[in-house]
Amino acid sequence: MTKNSKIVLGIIVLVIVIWGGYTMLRQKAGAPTAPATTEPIKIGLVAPMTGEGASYGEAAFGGAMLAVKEINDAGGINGRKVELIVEDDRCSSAGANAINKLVNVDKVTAIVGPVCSSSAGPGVPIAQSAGTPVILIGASAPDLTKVGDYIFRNYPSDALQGKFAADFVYNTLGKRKTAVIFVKNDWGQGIRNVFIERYKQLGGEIVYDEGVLQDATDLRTQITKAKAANPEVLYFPVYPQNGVAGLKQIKQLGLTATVVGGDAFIEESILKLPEAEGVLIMEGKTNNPDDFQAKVKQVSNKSINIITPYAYDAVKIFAKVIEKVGTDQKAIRDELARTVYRYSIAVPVVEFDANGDLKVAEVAVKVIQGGKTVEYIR
Amino acid sequence: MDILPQLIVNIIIAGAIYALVALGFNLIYGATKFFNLAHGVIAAVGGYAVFYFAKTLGWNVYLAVIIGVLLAGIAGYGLDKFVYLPLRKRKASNMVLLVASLGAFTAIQAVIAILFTSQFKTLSYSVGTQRIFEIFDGVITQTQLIILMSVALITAGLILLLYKTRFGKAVRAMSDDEEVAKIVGINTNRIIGRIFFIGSAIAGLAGILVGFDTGIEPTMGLGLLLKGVIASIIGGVGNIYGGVMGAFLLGFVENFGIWKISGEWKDAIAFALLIVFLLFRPKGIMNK
Repeated sequence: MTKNSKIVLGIIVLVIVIWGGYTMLRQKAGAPTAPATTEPIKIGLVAPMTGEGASYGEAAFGGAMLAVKEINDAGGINGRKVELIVEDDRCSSAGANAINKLVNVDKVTAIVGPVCSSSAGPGVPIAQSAGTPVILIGASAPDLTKVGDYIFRNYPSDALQGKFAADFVYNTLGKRKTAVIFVKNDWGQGIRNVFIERYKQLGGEIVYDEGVLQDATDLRTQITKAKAANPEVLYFPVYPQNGVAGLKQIKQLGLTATVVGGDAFIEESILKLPEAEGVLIMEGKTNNPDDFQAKVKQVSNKSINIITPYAYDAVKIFAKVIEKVGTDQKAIRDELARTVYRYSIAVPVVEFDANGDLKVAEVAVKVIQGGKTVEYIR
Repeated sequence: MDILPQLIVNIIIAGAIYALVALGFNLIYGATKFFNLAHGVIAAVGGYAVFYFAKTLGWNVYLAVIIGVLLAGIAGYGLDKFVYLPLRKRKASNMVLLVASLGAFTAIQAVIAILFTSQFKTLSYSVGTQRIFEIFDGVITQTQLIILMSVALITAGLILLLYKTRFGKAVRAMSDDEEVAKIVGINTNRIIGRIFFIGSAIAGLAGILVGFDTGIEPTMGLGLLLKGVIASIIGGVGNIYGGVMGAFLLGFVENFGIWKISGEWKDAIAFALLIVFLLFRPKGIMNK
């Protein structure tokens, strides 16, 4: 390298460092100026608009757009229009970038989403530290709302499933001895912890409790041990790949206990499996009425699924709260924490507990019969 | 209920599956002296071939299995012809071949995922009617018995092939010293091609049988390969008997290890065994 090019390089480095430092300092110093009262209120939507989960993103978009349209048609919030800013998180750790942009570049008032736990995990801490209120609309890993007090969720947490399953096994089935085999990840461990805590609280006995790794397909020794413990029920929150192999091995090894699975079992490879016949599944109950779907179709002609009403509700809840307390984010958070919202579509009432999760959520019990799930009847 | 008999059966089943992978892996390693990581994905090729012909097209299952085994063999042969052979001719080191095989592994796995999705699939939906046999107090299914018999037959077949045929003699000569083998007129590249075909066909059979026993997914190869490689290393890499013995030892340690402690420790135990062997007996049980 010649002397000249060294000097040029040095100057470039110097310029970048000074410019970068100046930008950072300016951002810190200049607190966001209060927008003029006629400017639109920005609400961010984080959802997978591309990739494998794109149908969920489209579904969330339709619901959120309908809510925005209804609010703006009625004159906006205190005379200010609502603007929806959509960021694609591809159901991945790109959720961190998406939330970063919404918080720091667009300076949104509130965020709806993410839909996926894998995106919310890296994403929500950013919103929490920036003090931007979030309502998660599909990300169901129990710990997400524990990130901080700005994180809420109008979608049932996985923890509810575990708690409901414990009540169901103890009270409805009347079984007192349960074995647990769970998948060792955030989802499985979360459900298992809640299940066991609740089941013991009720007075039931956990006769066996072990995890399997997410890619495990040889569960024979675990099932052999579970069978030796003589359970009446096997609580089996595992992923489909564990489940297909495990359900076969349960039959082969002659474990006759009633099998209760998690909502991950609602998947073709499990439902089509003859060994899955009679397996019980707990699933969060979501209302998605036809007249609501018809209205969504008018603003978005893409897919509609269970996420749609949650996205709609989340925007509407923010609108109601902002109407009452204005756009100060701390005030929005405080108001969300005490709000009781009875106009929601997906669930009968939205009321948050200390974590920011739904206080009440309905869980439905289904049974696998002939390749699909049907309502469980005693 | 005493779980010991079932535990022993579980050990035998797991050991047999690992042995099936280790057999082909060792055969290829013995001749080429490089770690063919693509061996794992070849098992998935076999499994998915049967899935396609038997379940999607509805052909006869036995015919589909034969096609699956042959296809896996051809895939392995093709890999050697079009990837490894040109590299060998360029005097590429074993490290380059290893990296190339990793590339082949990932590429083929991705193609399978594109063609068949990443969803877990099972080869036989009719296992409900599968016959179950009782041995003492343990149960074993028909598929698992077939796996066990395949291991016995293939081991015997490979021993005969290696020690009773001219081809086997050439393979062993190559295994001892490839340069000298070339000098005495052995066409080493042709022999390696055939070895790839046989070894890969065995891997394909492993994938198919695992598919019948539990199920298939595009990423199934890695798990199988890792367990097969551990079995090879603790048994003595490149050694036919060693691979089989290593496989059953691995199955034993793994399943016996989680008798009294929680099941999620299984893989931790398996890899700890590998490390212990690498440290204290790097050449494996069958010390050559």
